[in-house]
Amino acid sequence: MPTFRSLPSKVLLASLLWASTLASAVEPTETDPNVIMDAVTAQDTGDKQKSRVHITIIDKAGRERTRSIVTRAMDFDGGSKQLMLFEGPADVRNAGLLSINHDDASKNDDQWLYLPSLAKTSRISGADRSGSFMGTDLTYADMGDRDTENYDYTLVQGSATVDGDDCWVIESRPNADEASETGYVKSHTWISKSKLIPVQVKAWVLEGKKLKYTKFGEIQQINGIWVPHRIVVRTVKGTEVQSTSTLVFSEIAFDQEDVVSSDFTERRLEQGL
Amino acid sequence: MSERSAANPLFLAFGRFVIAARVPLIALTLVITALFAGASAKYLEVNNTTEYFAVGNAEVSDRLEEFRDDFGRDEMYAVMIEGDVFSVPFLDKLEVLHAELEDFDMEVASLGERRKDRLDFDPAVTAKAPEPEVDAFADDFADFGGFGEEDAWGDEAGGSLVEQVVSLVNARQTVPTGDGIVVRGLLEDPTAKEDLPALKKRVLADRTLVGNLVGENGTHTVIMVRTGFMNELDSGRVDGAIAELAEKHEGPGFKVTVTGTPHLNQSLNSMVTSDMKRLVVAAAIVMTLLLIALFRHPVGVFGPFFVVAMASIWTLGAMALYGAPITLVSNVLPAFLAAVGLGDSIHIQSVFREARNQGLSARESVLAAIGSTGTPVVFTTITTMAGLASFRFAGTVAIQEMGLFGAFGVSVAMLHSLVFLPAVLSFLEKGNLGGGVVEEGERKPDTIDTVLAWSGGLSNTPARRVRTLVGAALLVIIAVVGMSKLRVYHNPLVWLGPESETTIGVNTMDAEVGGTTTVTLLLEADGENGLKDRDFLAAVDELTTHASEWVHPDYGSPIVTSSTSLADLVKETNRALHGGDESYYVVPEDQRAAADALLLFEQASPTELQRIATADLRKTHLTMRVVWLDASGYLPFMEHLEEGVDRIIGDKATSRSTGSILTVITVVNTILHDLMMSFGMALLAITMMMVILLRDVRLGLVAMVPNLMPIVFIMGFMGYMGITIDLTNLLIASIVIGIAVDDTIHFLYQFQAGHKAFGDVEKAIDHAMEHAGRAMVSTSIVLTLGFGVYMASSLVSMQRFGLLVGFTCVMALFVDLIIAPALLRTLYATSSPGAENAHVPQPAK
Repeated sequence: MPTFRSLPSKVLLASLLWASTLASAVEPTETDPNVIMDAVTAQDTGDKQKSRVHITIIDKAGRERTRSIVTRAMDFDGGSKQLMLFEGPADVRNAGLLSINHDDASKNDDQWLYLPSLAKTSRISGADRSGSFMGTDLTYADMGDRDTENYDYTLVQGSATVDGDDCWVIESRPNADEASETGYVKSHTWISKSKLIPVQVKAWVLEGKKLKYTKFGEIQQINGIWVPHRIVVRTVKGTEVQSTSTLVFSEIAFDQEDVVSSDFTERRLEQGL
Repeated sequence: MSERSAANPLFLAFGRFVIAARVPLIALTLVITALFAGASAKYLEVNNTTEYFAVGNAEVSDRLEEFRDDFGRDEMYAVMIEGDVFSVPFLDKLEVLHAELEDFDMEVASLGERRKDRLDFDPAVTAKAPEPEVDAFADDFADFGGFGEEDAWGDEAGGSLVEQVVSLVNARQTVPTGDGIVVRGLLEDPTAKEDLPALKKRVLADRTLVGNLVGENGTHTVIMVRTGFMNELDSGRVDGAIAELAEKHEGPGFKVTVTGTPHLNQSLNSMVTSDMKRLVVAAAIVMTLLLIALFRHPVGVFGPFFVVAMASIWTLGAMALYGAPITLVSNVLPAFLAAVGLGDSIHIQSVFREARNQGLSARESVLAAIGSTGTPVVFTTITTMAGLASFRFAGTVAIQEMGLFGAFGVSVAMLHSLVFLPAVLSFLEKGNLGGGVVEEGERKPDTIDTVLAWSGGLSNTPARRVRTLVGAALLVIIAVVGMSKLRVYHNPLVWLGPESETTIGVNTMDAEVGGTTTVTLLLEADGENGLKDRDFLAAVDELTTHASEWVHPDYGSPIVTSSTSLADLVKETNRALHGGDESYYVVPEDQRAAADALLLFEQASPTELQRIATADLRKTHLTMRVVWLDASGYLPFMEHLEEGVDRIIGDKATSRSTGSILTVITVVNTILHDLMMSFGMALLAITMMMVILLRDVRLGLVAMVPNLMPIVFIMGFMGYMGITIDLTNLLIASIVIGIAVDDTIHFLYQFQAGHKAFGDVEKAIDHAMEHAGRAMVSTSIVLTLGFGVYMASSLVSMQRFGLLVGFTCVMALFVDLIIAPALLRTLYATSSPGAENAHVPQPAK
């Protein structure tokens, strides 16, 4: 599965691997999947970003849990930092999560959680890359960076239409270690030829032979970058929907002057909203 | 009285039709049999899970399905390993086995299939609200080819069938670090194996691990494996494959045993299937030998044999086509049909033989046999069907199906007895059953004649009559005392026997690790995020202690070995947030602290949270691993638990208990209730049938005495022998009444025919002894010895089945030959002067 590195700070794909600036570098008739993927992953991902995310998690019986988070993010040499502060529900308001994600997959990401009741920050270690992110259908691996060296790409379809966009369909098959790390056997990614971003992904989950479908919607340009404002991820087993996560982004802004290094410290985390 | 004089003209006409169309009728019967055989070979399923018995029991079934809807499959495969758990070689091997189980895969066609899904198409089951279909969510995903389709996975070879593997390798540890906490698997700590004494000390002090994944002695551990839903057949295959994989790792100091509920179900299924096949063959051989001894002619042997075999094949074929599986209940059907089919055909063959002995041709003898026995055969069938049809009112689908297909099978047995058998017998122009044709009066009395003469003579004077009746009354009293000793004790492990590997596995798991089965409470709090309420969490914690510390009055120790609840997670997280201080292994006093602890857990281990709480944090479960007891052994615990729920949880949440044990308890109780209700209705129906058949209210009512007495005797016998009531022998009562009613109808029908012909009770009893008694004795011998073979079964439940059915046959015969004549002589004493004359019946001719 392609990664949504730095979610939601980078507002997923938009700012990361899937920016549009090099879209013209690849011809729509291109059939070499490596060329396509290189072009996609070489995008300028944008920086110093702010946004607000509303997360809805729906289980197989249709029950919902919601979260509202205010985020900011910025890059550093070798990775990215994100600050996520909970706005709701009320009983967790002002709790916050600070993440430092390393591009090098061999390095564990760092996380600190601030819990107001304890009035202190705790570092959380041990979450593996195939684990769920905040209870959603997304995993930490979905959000981390991906080393194309660990994948074999195949062009499944040279042309497929998704929401009116002409797309390549590319199969990504990880090597054994990467498969074990990410929890995916393989994935199919529909990449918009005009925007050079993925518009949908089907991923084969190793554990329990589940399938994960991801749809990027309401794609708009911000500062010249194509950004999906709505991401829906659904996990399906056989014909049964196991769960669905919807992430709706708003107030997305890049290159914000007030997003500075000091935002990504325990002290800032403890200040809350 | 000639045979023709007692013949029913309708049946004579029917007999003529059968003889005229005998070849096409035989051919048609064989063709249909072949079709049903094909259907049963292709579609028939075996399902011995208690869950299947819960289907139709709306409350218990719905709770179980509710749990599965929210939290997935509740049954886990368990691989128990014995050895020095806290040694490097053992832990290394454990890690390898754990990893292989995580990657375990095999082709499972029914993956994701749930019994309830298939039952949605079953007209016998109450209609359920339609499940939301995948298409309903497909709006966002319309551009994905094959979204929500069965084959959306495609032919991708990768992926694991396994959804979750839990062992000491990855047992969740939320532990403090210098500046926070770490959540990781126990052996994922790189330093874990460096100080094994410290690891052992830490693990054996961990209440979430001892009694769950490791025994308190540190000599046994278990790997739990969860897969998706699948049907029984595939579950059995997966169990076998997991066992095969695990056993490859067995070696010195690493003894592997596969156990758990799916394994127990698989053991029962395979033993029931293999045992049934073996026993049916053995019983068929014994019955064939007896039929040879009785009828001494190939037609006399294969006629009844075919009737019974074809009745079973048609019934199993019909079950296969309907989608009804073979269960612990319905697997008595072949035996039941053997009892009924043999009875019918032996009665017909006996009269046929007597008619041939009187010099009639084969065709005339067939008419005599059908004309004379047609009415009682039809009536025994109708009464038995009425009895079985009463099961249709049961609340349990398995029992309903038993009633439906039992009634179908009985009617098929009657059809073959009245069509196929006479059609075959009509070809017997040369020779006769039981040897060649003998001249009238030439046959010498045999043992059966002597028995009949002796039994008829036991009440042929007023004094003997009183003596017999008083003796019968005393026997009833003794039996009733025995009945009071009866108790319900449902324990499938007992059926497998103490030496069975499965029994040893379950017992070892109970003793050395922790309970094999679970009791679960579904708890639903008010409003979204209701589970975060600290008072609720504290109440769940208190309830867990309430249940865990309870000492079973009969066993003298607690039966809960470990538990999992949301409160445990909060406590564990709270402790970790406070540097591992044990005094913080509590639900925080502060509401915000409780909510924060849950938030932390959600961040650190969201998958774990999904397994224990619904997305809206309104519903959770408290699951307790409990040691294996018989079903009724859990009743006091459930009462204790319910008291705790009322007092501790109160109105903080609604509570519903579920789990396989509760299902068993409810199922056994429901079936007991169903059977009592059904039995009452069956007795009422049979009494009315008796009155209609005999056209005599008084005789019809008296007939119920020999019908009921064998049931009283067998229950008394069970009480004295210490044979408890469980799912497998609950239904013996229906076989008992089937056999008892058949004997009684044949005997009374012939008695009444004789009484009408001769106007004399003694001659009527002689007539009944001659025309029904002989066949009754023959049938009883065949059935008693035939089912006696079951006592050689490796399943204790089957051994008991053989014993009880054999005992029933003897008792039914005893009552009809000894007590029924005494009752009839008493009943007809005033209306038939001849009855008072001392009369010793002569051996039947």
